[in-house]
Amino acid sequence: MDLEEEYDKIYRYCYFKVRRRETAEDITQEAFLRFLESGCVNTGKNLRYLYTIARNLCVDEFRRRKTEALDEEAADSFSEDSMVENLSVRIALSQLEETDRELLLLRYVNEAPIAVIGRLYGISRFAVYRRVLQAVKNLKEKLGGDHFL
Amino acid sequence: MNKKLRRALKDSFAAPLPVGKKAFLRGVRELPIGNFEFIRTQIAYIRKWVWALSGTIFAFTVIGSEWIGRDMLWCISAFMPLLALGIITECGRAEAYKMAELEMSTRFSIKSAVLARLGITGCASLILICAVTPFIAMQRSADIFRTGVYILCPYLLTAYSGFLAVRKIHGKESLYFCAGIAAAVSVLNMILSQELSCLYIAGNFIWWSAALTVLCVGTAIQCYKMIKQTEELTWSL
Repeated sequence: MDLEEEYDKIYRYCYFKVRRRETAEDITQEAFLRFLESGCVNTGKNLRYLYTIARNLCVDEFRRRKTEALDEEAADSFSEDSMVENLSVRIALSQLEETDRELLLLRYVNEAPIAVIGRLYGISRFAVYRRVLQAVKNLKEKLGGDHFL
Repeated sequence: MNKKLRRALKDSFAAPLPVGKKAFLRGVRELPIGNFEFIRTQIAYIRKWVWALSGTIFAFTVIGSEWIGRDMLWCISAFMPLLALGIITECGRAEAYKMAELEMSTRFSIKSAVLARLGITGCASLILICAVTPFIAMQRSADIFRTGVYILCPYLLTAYSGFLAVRKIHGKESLYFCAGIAAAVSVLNMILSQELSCLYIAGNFIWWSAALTVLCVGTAIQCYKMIKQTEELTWSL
């Protein structure tokens, strides 16, 4: 497992979840420490475990945030990103459901294997394949007659 | 999904550059690892044929002692050099492929890896020998200790000669040389047990015991020298 490459992917995943750079980085590092302490890095087979830790830490962060006032200015809103290029894709993504966005991130941006995503969600490979196809279809619908199609 | 859309997706999910990545990864790579965990990782690197050979010898002994009905001692002791060959090739692999110096700079030094593999394969062989000896002793209606000595001698002779060869001959040739030694000891053992069966009489057991003691000491010395040699490589870096 290339730790540097996986660091970027997990960080991107956490950033997508929490929308704060510092928090995403803290969660990424915490996830890696827990993963390495478990000894799974030597087997090279437990990418799913790393994603699961990161996701659970993000959930913990959401729970913690609920009890605190959300600092709206610190959070980088999805729609307030620097949308200079690919504006239409960003708008289309912002109109999708959270799960569709997450699936697209995992499958097409982080290039996580179908099996890893399946184990992360606790569903079959076929179900993942179907959901990813549905997410792509939804994205294309939101894009409408855009030149990507 | 077309490439353009895929690229646009990647851009859309771009996150700000992480600040502490390099410092974190530098620290993470030096995380300590326990001895047990280290040995566990080394087991995974031992080639499958070594385990397969051990399993085959055990299965062959059990089946042979139950159904074949012939004297299995010469047969099993002829296999022992091959088992020793497994240990030698595992421990001398870095040296044989001229990777020893590179392995010095890795997270776990070659010395630790060689020691761990020597321990794992040595223990596995010992367990196997302890497991097969009673079967052969029962079949021959002989003393277990004596049978064990007959099995251990060709094993230790190969281990001793093999370690010596790995230390003295560099590169891949050392592995071929070890394979040759194992084959020679195996054939010699078969010839001796078939043609000179008088060697195996009770009166000669004292000589077998002496040979075993000498080979035990010799193999231990060779192991020590081999580890010492890997230490010396560190100084030449």
